[in-house]
Amino acid sequence: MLKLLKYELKSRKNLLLGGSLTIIILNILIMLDWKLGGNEIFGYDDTFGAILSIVLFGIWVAILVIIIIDSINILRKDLYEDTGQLLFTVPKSSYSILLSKMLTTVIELLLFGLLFTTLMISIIVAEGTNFESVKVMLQVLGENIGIVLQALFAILIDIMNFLVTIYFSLVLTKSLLKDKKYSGITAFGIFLLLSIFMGKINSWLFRYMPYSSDLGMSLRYGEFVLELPISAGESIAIILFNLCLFIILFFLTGYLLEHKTDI
Amino acid sequence: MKAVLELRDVHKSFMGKKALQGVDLSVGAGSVIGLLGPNGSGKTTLIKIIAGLIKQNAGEVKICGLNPGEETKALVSYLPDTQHLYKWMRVEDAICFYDDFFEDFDRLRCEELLDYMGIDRADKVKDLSKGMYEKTSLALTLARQSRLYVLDEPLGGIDPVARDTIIDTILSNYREDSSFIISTHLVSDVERLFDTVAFIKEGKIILDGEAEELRIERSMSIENIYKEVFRNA
Repeated sequence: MLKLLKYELKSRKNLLLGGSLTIIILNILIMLDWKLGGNEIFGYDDTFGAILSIVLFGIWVAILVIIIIDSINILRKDLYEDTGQLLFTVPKSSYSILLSKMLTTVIELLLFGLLFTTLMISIIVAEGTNFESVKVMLQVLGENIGIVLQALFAILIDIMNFLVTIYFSLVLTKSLLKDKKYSGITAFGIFLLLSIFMGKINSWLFRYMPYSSDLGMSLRYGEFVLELPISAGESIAIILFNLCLFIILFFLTGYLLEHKTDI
Repeated sequence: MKAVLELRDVHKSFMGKKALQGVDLSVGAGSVIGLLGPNGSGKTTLIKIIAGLIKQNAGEVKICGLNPGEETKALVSYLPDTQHLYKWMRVEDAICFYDDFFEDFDRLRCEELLDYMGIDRADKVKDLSKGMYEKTSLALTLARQSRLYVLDEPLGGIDPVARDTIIDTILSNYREDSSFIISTHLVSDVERLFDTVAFIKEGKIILDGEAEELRIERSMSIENIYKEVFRNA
């Protein structure tokens, strides 16, 4: 599986390296601009800095969109294009292939998430802000580590569920239709129906089993005190439901790929 | 002679259209079988079933006694008739890919074959000409020490000089414990390779047997038998 992951990541090295480098360079430019004369980092009286900031924001959005599109294409191409005849003839199970593709997207998101966090911290440091806000945040996070981990786990399950729903829709379509012509719209229809179904169950669970954990935070920023009640987001019931759904869809997709799909 | 491949009454249809209709075929160790038929006769479908890419609707497929799947993919070396390598790859990446995933891959043998064919490892796969691409794919496929080699139209769209190189490479790779299935409609170029031939038409094997016996029996070359069999195809 690790070997599969290696080649999936290798195929995305342009996005990973190019995207990261562009973002880092733009951040450095913004910080330099601020150091050399701008009044504040996202200061609107500094036109150059403002333009850089807008471009940087645009690139972040573009990268997010590319990752989402990529997460679909990562399997779609191997199902419908000739490269499938390489990938699906390697002696690896369809489950390994699926998992490697999902993990590739998760790693991409993690890498850019880490980069975003690192750059935000470096901007705060460059700005010379007192670190009280960061300290408070870290302290609150440390005191509520269980809830934080629960929230992170819920996010991870949500991402994996999103991906497995896409893959299930693509593989089911491929096993039902030989013709590529209507495959896109059919897969989208299946994805939409599944998402509506999952959304309905989630809201039902939220209504009848509303337990969720809250983080109460007070962040001081200069003279401002910001009360920030952060919900861990999803109740345990929803997380468990989504986890079960992920497992079922994952094995169903793997089974379809192994036994019912013609490449 | 124990069969490397056994097909019994294999059927396959796509959306109601019959692609294979009761195919029986047996391939023994050390034999080279020519799967001959015009475009659309079912050759690629049959080969993809053997490679584990598509599943038959009915019938039995056994590769070294196993059903097609993860285990048989380690035994079958498959050359598709399409451009199956990832476009981002250089030839070197493709070598590493095969080396990583196929335990029977002989990297040195692959490099020898690539040198013989004049392929540069630094070349990008997407920049290779059709002939060079075919040669690269063939080198990767033949560098595996597999029990069964399945080559789908290895000469399609290749110039005559490159064809000779490819045929020589296939010949040089022959081992007594391995078998070849070569599908083609360009019979004259490769008929000297075949021990056995199977003519496939509309998803059915309509004639098969030892190549030499068929030549003697009909007093003509395999190419002429092909023309006779498929005259109205």
